[in-house]
Amino acid sequence: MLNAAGSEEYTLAAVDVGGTFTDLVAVSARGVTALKVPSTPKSPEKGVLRALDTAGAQAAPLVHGSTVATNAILERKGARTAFIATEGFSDIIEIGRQERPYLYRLDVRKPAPLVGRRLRFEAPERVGPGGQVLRELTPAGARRVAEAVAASGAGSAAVCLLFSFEHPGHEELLLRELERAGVAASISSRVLPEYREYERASTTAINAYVSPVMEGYLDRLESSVGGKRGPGLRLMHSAGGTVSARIARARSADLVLSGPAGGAVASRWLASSLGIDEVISFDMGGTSTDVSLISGELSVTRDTRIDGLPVALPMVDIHTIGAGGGSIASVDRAGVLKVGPESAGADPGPACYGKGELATVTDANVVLGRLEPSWFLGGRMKLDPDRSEAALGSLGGVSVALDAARATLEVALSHMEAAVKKVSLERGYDPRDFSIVAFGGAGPMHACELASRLEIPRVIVPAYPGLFSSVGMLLAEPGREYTRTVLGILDDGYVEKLGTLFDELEELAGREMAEEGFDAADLRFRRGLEMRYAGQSHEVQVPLTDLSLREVERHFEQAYSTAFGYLRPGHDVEVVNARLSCRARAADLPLSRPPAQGAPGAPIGQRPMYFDAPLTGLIYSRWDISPSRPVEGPALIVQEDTTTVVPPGWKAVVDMMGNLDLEVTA
Amino acid sequence: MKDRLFTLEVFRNLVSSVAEEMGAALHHTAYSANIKERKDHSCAVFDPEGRLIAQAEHIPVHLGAMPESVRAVLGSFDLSPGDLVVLNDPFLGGTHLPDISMVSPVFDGPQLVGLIASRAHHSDVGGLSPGSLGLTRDIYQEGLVIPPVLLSRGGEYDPGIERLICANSRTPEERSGDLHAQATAHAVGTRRLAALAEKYGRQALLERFAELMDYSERLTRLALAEVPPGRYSFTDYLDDDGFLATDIPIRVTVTLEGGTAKVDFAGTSGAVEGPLNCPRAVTLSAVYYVFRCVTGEDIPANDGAFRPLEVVIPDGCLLAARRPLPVGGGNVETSQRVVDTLLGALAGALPGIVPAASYGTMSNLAIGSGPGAGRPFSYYETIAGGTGGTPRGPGSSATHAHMTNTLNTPVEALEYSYPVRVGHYRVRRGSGGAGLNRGGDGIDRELELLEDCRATILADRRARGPWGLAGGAPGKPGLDRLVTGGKSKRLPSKCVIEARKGSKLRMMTPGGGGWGERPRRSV
Repeated sequence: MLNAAGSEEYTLAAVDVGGTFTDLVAVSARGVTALKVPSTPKSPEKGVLRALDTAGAQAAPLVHGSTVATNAILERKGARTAFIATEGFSDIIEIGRQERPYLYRLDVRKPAPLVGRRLRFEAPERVGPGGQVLRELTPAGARRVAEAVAASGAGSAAVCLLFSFEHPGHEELLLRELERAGVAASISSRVLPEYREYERASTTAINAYVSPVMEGYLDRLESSVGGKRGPGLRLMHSAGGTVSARIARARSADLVLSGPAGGAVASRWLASSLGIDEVISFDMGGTSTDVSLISGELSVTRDTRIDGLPVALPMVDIHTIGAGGGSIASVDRAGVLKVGPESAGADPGPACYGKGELATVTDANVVLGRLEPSWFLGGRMKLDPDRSEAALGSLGGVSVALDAARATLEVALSHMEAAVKKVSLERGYDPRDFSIVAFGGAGPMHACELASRLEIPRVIVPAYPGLFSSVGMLLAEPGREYTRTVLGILDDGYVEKLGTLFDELEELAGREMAEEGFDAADLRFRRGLEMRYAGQSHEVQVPLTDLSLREVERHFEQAYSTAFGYLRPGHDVEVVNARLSCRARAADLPLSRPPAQGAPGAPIGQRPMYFDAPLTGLIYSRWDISPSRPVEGPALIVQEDTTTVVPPGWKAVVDMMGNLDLEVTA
Repeated sequence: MKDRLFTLEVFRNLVSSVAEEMGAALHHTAYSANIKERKDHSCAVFDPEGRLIAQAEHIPVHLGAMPESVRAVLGSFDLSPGDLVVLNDPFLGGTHLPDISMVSPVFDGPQLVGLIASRAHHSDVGGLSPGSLGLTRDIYQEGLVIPPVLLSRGGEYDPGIERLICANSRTPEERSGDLHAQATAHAVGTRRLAALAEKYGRQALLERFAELMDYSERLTRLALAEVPPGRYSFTDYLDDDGFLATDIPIRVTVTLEGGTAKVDFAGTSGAVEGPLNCPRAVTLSAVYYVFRCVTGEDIPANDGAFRPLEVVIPDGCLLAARRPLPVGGGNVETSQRVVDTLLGALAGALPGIVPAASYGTMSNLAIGSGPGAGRPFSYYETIAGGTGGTPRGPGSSATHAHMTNTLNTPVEALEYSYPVRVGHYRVRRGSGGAGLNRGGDGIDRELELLEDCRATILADRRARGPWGLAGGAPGKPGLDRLVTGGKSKRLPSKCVIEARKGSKLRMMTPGGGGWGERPRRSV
């Protein structure tokens, strides 16, 4: 794509492994190198290596976004894992929350637990609320359990004892005995020291299940890039920061949303570099669309599920829907058009790719003139508009392909509108206060029309929309999240205790970061609490700047009323979890691309387009547009990895950093 | 017109967003674990005539139950902007007393454009036993009956009504919080529906409502037309009503013909003395649930989807309860058996998709503070069981089926909040019925009571296990025991017990029935 810098010294490289492509973005003193190579799903490290080789970036410090952890769960190819619980409770991993995922299906199927019945073990111990030991776990008892686990042939073990977050001693004892017996173990009081045993058990089991796989992968990756990667390899985690390969091996559950987090981090960076706080990150690809709301900071959720299994670790709150450029349009038997969730994927792909026959969202864009067939992928792939026309024309219901195309786009946009509402209105934010950052192959094509539906006046398309997640990895700061359950009613004494607790967490984080070579002076801590009114059972995330009772209350009330629109003055407030986010300052990277000089934006062509009426629009090459001359819609702005659609009533300019900034004019 | 139908999906997304946003607001702001952790609530949008347009519900028992409440409200008031009506009367579209509904109108200028409604399970509204669930003999023993009353009039909130409701609950603080959460959901819903009316204009909005209902009707008829026509009957039984009645029959005859279904409950038991009587709205919910499973979850759940169904319930029947019969268990027990019975009948028409019977009870457990105890509390939970084996695979263990899908209370949350200690919480191995595809196993959980308590159990399938299908064996019936001072006593399926500190209450829920004959082992 962009010029490879050859053998020059890169400051930092980021590689994001996706299903189809492995993306690389690297920076050197001379600028940015960006490229894509085909992914190698069976051994992803080969694709990573090839991307690094192609760029000549083998020696660069590397940030890596990996789907290895995710795929190990989705494909159920993790380690043979044992689960150890308090006596009487080893089935909690199967009982879960006793609910079924689909209400109206006669075939009831819960997601299968990662650990089958034969590999569940019980420890003779019991701790009650408050950490009160009701039955002591003896060293002999722990040893017997560990030996039974070792004899079972399990290669990894997850330990989750009741109330262990208040009394970790029994889990620590089991950990020592398991290690002595040769079994690698994850214990819940370290993975997620928080109350609610099923979510904690599930998260711990996921960690135990994927960590050995991640370890093997990282070993192979490190040895194939020369064995000297060491501290130079960091992994993107789901909360938007990076951890060393050493920590990633032990905390692999942190990595399950590695890739999508990159896009959100990049969106936040872009927003702050433009001096705006409120953006909605809109990443539309071939099969799905990721939407995330950023109000100053990334939104963090604790309710993530992967393949139906809860991972209660802090993660960037990303809402995914099954609608993308490859989503298939079809007409149901009552004559109503549906779009997705089935997708034509990359193979056969949309009808216009020349293989498949099914109409997709991309075909609708072709028929409506929003894709220039000769300019797809920078002209490397020719699209066949006749095939799009035929596919849409044969949908039935309406007579002409054009109407079917309009309808397909309308329905696809309505799904995306619902997704944006979900992350904004349902969480107490008004989407009109936000701008959209659009990326992914299909994001810039749909963003302005989506924005119009939501009355959002501004859309920003970054310079490398197809590689934006990798850019986010480049920008992600080192550090991770630390949480602890601290259930108690908020009062002066409690706030004092919180102070001590946060000091402890900061010390722990500081130690961890020091081991990775980060200077204490470069660390930034953000404290947060998860709070509720006493008696409730869902918490709001409350940022904390100052540890005085009044300030904590003020922050709680602000967060609570944003989320729910009311307060309950005079009611006790309860703190559930304390959360510390630790980040080391990332190096400043010369990421902006100077805008093109020379002849200001001459169009490279024109074509008929259809919005509310047939129009003729100009086509511009992305790198020809200059800041001095805005492009007025209707127009297309083409580049190798995407096409930006500028509808009538919108105009686009390139800013000093190479972003396309689109605004409503009418 | 044709063009509009083609893009109806766009409108459907918009109108379901209204119900979903309401649901999110209610769920997030609620106080009680029932609503927050167990999602025992739903929100819906209605047209000005009270016909259901869209619903966001988390448990099916609310599916058919709200329209009758909305109609009761329309019949009681000449609504003005800013009105908010609260009610729970089971004989006016309610389900059982703990389910409190709110209904409010949405106006475009002076004209009504629709109504929004919410329903949430409040964990205690007074009555004989904590959790408002007990061995009752009439509705008055079950708690506070709220006819349609204005909680807000013209935007003016009436704190007196709230105080009245809260004063009749064992947990007034929680009631107040949950009522506020519902009111918040209505504020959100009103804004969103009014915005839709503004976007489309009243007339166009009403036309689209009609199109959406017609669409669901058409899809339902097409789906029903694919089921082999004929008459299919089945009878199933409730164990007992907690008093004298045992083996209470529920009989149904389903007549399928030309894209319609007639569901006739002739032959079902008359009303019973105990709390198993079912308000008509609950019976309808169970019928709608079954047909939704059969015709497909993709059909938007609205009034149109129910039009091809004719439901006949004889007068005086168990399934069309009249005032002042007790109905506490109709919603949570009888509704499950109505589903079993209907599926039993439909197995004749659809042998390839209907599973064996699931655990068929909600195994309701309510525990409250005993007389003279310290801090009053009221805990309520339903306990899942095994689901039936299906033609395609085994049943699922420890999983909620059919009319409910509420989450369990985590062991740690339970022990933080209530004076109980969980002894064990396991899958009840071997309780699922044998068969080619086994039934799922039930749950086995023991609670030690750390204070004197009053506990209520309302359960069923303790006498006969859930039936197998196509040669599969039935699942094991449930079994509940109380151990006090070393003595273990088997408990009846429905009972209120004064349990002493230190006693242990062990509940074992039924497994699902097996499907298909187990292949003989070759010798």
